[in-house]
Amino acid sequence: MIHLENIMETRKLSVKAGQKTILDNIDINIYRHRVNTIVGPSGGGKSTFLKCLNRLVDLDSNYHVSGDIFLEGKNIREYSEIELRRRVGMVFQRPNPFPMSVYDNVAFGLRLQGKVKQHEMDSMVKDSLREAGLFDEVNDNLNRPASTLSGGQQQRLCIARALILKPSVLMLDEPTSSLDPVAKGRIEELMIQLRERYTVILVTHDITQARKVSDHTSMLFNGKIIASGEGVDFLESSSSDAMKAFLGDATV
Amino acid sequence: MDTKNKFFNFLTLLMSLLPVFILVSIFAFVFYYSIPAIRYMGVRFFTTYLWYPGIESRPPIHINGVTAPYASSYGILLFLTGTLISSALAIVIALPLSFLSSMAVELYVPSGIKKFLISMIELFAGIPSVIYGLWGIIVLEPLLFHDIEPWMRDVLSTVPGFAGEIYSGAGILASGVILAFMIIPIIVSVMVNSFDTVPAEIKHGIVTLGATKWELGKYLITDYSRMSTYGGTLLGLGRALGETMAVLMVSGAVVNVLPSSFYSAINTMAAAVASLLDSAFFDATGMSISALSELSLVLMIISLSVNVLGRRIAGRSVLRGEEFD
Amino acid sequence: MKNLTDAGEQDSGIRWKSSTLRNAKNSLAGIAGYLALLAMLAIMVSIFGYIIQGGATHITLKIITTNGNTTTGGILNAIIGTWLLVGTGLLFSVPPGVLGALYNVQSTSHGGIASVTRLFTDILTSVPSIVIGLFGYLILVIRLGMGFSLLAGGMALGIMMLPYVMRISEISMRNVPAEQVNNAYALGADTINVAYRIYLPQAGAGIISGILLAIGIAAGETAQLLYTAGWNNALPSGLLKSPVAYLTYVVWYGINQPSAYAHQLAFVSAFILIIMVTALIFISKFIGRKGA
Repeated sequence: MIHLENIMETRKLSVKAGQKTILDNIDINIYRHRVNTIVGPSGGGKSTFLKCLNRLVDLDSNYHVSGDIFLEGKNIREYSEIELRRRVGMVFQRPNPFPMSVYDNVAFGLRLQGKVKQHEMDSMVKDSLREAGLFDEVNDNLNRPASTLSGGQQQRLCIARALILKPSVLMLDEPTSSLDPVAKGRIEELMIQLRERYTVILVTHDITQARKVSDHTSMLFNGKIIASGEGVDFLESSSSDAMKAFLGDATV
Repeated sequence: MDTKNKFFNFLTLLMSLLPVFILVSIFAFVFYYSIPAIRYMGVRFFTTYLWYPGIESRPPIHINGVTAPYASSYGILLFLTGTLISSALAIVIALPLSFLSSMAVELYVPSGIKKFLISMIELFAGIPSVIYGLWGIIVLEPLLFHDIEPWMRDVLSTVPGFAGEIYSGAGILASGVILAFMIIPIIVSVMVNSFDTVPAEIKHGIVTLGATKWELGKYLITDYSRMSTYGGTLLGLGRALGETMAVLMVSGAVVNVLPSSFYSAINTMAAAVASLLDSAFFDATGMSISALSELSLVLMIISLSVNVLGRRIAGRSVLRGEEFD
Repeated sequence: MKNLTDAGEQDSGIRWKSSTLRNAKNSLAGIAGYLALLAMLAIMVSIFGYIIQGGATHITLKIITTNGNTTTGGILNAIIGTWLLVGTGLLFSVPPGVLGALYNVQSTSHGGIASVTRLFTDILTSVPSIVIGLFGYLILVIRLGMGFSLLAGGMALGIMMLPYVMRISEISMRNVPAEQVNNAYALGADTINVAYRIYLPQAGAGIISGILLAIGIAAGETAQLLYTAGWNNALPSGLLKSPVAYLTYVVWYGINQPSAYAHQLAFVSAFILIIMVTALIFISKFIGRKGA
């Protein structure tokens, strides 16, 4: 039996947009140094769930959040947004490099948040690029515009940009859905490496991806968690129609 | 295609070219009417501030093949300076207010109020300039004269330009303030629109790294949307340079008196054309009209260059709060 | 279990900027932003307040129903004159504006002329109005012998209205789905049909909203009328050689007279102007939104 330690947990987390319920009473544990995967069909509330964890959801005044979320045992409302977002990094579905050089992209968060000398900055930017598996590909010229990188490289750049803040938790929202199979494979390998030093939360609608990387999986369907457990295989034995339909779609 | 349609197509083409024709005509005729003044004054047109219609009772003089009233002089240095100072002052006042309010509208204000505020800003842009002028005369000038200018003189007495005598409230300061109000809606409109076109991915990306609203706004204004910042500022400047009536009403519209401080009366190029044209009718040699044409030509070249540059840089055009793409 | 190091916990000794300080800066910026907005609103309230109060207290039936000379009498000649000038301006801006827009919106099949005319149209909006006034004086009033007149003033206004009508019409027409236009052509419709049956009905609201905006701008213009329309203590006797009164003139001239009654007339004129312009802007917005 592996010892599981919660780094984050949600209790009775619900999100409403007007009359519409997007998330309904979600209780989830996020385990330290694991790849925690949320699977489910599109529109099931997966992205909203992630946005609750770093309070990005607060940007949209139409969304009303209730319930509690804890990070390291402390309610996330007790952290400043600044600190919460430093500790809980996020990478989005489509790579979103800023219109600046590779170096400046990675350094962005640290310039914003940290008091760091230039030589320290240089080495931290390089470390983050190494951790994101991008260093060797861009080392010859860190000053090239980020937009000249390929899609897969851009996404790894976004991961490096998040890692430089040394987050405890790294959230990946469908990180490979806009990438080709090779780039996708590289990011999947990367996720497995990253859990050595970070806690990973992956949101995906791709059950095959979940099979490759997930340590702990929850199925989110119509705003509700309908199954949750170790690995992925337990999902297959589920008798729920929703689950069968989803798995059927995904495996075709 | 039948004749009727051919004619119709030709007509639409012709009408589409009408603005080109009008603009070229304005340039050509204003330039044509400027020629006598260009020949008479040469470079002195820009280097002297003396604008004097000459002595009617003495016979006209003939120089460089043109005829001008005796002892007449047409120098625009004062008007040029007035335009530049009042516009610069307007920008200095308008920029911080515009940045802060567009940031507030975009990032701080609840989305329900945002729409209301944007409509207000558009309405602000649509107020006729004589109304600004009227308000300037009845509210701003007394306020400047009785309260603000004496206070500034006390506090800033050691700063050059802020010492001098206070005359009436009309002058550089009043012009700059009125122009600032007139250009704020233009700058805000460009900036709010450019903020709105920043992809959500970029905004979210920055917020996700822990940026506060202020840090996000600062990044957008000074970096991501900096072209709109520059462009919007230039479009505002273009409006200020060409504004006539409001400035005519609150500048003091002086001729041949150099300003000694920020409280002094001035005149701008646009206001000078408006205020000097009626006396120019009486100049039998036509030189005054020609000089005013040259003044208009210079004004038009400056104002259009700034506007075109602003439009290029901002990638869009905004007039009276109305957005063109 | 493998001993895992947690990047977040060991923290690699980064010194973070104080989040209290950053939050304070953020709040300060927010307060400054609200203050800036409040200042603008206050100025606007002040402008509207003074004009509406001044106008409402001085307006009488007599003032708006009799002619006057800016220091005595009323402003009926100026009210009607303003509308005559704007109406003449419409004649010179709406037909060419809409027709030109029809050309520009179909320009993909016409080549690069439209991009040039678009640029010139935009530039035309930024010609200072006094320059249009001087041009009008030199060419229309003197050279073409129109004198200070409705025609000269209206044409000068038309020059400034044209770009607004043309560009806003074009933008509205651009929202008409291309497949509809292509379908119509495929079914054998000719250019006139497409203009009449497709572009005008569908972009109608947008075009009208542009026209209303142009009217609002023209009604508030002064500089280019000073030397094209002149001033008339009564109504103009015809299109040519008979000057026209207009409201903005009363505001500008009246407030500069040493006479309390002239100030009253200036306020009443400003009051009528500001109500008119505000109404036009909002109706234009409303129609434009409905059209879009």
